[in-house]
Amino acid sequence: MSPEKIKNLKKCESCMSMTIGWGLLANLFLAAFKLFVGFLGRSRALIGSGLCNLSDTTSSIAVIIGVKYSKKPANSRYPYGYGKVEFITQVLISCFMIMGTLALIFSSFITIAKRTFVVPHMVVFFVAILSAIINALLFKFSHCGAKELNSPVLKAHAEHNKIDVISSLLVAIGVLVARKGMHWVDPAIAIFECVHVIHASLLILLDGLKGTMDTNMPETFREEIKSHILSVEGVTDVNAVRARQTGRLIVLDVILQLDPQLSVLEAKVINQRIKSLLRNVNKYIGHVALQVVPAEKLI
Amino acid sequence: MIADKCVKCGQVVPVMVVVGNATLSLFQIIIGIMTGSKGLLADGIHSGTDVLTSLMVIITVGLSQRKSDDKHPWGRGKSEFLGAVFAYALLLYISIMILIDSTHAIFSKNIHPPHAAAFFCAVVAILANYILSSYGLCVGKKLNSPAMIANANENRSDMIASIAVSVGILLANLGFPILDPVAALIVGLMIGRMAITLGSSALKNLIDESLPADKKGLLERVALQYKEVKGINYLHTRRVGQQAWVDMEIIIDPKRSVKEGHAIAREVRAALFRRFPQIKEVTITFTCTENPTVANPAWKAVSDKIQMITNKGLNLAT
Repeated sequence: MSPEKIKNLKKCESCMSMTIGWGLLANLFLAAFKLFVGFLGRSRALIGSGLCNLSDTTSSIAVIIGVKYSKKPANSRYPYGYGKVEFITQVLISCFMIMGTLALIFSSFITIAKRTFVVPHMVVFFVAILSAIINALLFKFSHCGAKELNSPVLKAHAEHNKIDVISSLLVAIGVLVARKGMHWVDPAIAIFECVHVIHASLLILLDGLKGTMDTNMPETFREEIKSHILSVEGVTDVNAVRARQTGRLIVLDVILQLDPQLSVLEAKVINQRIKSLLRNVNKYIGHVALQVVPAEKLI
Repeated sequence: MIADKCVKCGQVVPVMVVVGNATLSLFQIIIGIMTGSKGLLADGIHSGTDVLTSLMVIITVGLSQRKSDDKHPWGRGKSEFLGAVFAYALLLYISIMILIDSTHAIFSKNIHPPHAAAFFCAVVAILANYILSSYGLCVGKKLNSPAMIANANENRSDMIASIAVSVGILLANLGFPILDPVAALIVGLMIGRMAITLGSSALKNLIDESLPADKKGLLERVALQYKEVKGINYLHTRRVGQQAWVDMEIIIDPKRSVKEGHAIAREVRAALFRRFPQIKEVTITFTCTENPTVANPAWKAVSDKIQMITNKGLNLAT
């Protein structure tokens, strides 16, 4: 790789962390602004769109809290560290989001059924347009970053931003139509937005539940770990690999076969090599337990 | 020797407590609304919380007893803590609602004292909780079940809440109407305290909190009984549901073979299982304190031997 390309890549990486930070701030600002104007301007759709922005920040906030806690070293009281705080934050925030959205869906349905419409104020239209522009800018940055760096986090961000642009434009159209006399359009768009928020929140909730329930890492990951361990000199076979996540870090539990005549000291050397190899290929490997069993075939 | 009577009682009492609390809760809530007593209503909700937590336990224990498989190699026991977090979050919400409502009532200008029927209902609740808790304490002590004793103590605290409520209703009728919502406030605080203490313990277990130091000491002592075990490098424990998972590294003589090390580890493992039935699984590894370094001449021999054995392995394969 040419030095210029590396320099560009470095620039891209710093740009990426900035994009995520600014995206979080912009989303939080938009969420607060839209919820405020939505209540004052009597537009349920804008409130729904605000919830949409809020749900985008959920995973970012969980990550920030998780990173803050996972910096605390493991101690005798929490031998595996504090990483799981991230999952619990995900579960709790997404539950709150789902409850809030269900309340909005409920009230929108009541409004449509009872025909107790209120006409949204014109200011709602301008806020929605402003939000569409801000989200379009965010999309431009995160889409470019996602393409350059092939980062799944940024791709997800870009996808969210795209949906936010569409949802903001929908709200703006909804306000115009509602002011022309079709009053049901505003709460109907609110329901549409809520369905999106619930979908996004459910995905985050499932992610958090998976982490707290100690779900195994995918088969491909475990196979990769297995092949790395097998590549270390002296390891005859790997019986089992299981892996669970505590936040960013991965806890491994491996059963491997060594020559029964090796001494404990030699086994320790092999184990240390395995650990340093695994930590070199994946910086998120945390605690590793290597259970050594004597290989049967070599006797 | 445990009497047959007690064993039978041990099967009946948990069901009796759930059914009794559910009936009591419904009864108190209905009478509370009819007589306009905020204290009795809060007390009814307090009795209902026991039913809610029992239901949560029934649902999640079924899930956590399923065998561990490829997707959940550590079992599904964490679902018990997740269920507890949700149940206690709901209780915290309910307690805040009661606190807001009763504070509102205390500061409102005209409070009507509740009807005298509320007083009798509260007295019935005191008696019912007394009977439930004495049965639970008797069986729990005879069968040595901490869960049952904890449940019985729960009923004792329900009884204290009911006493506070009955006094509040009585005094409210004697010219201090403010005391009924004050009783509701006390009950709300009791629910909130329970939700926070039990909820935070469930949260800690979700973050893989270790067992208390004295329990860990017992585990270490069992491992150190073997003279081959020179020490313990680390001992990690965490709870998964009702059971504990142990992850331990023992220190043994560096000159012993892998085969011997494995045999020692298996023995320690079996001893831990024999001594502590609550242990679900033990991950036990062995190491030594000696550190081979590149400068150490011993390192060369070790490295050569590994190389030789690898070659031997390759020869066997081809």
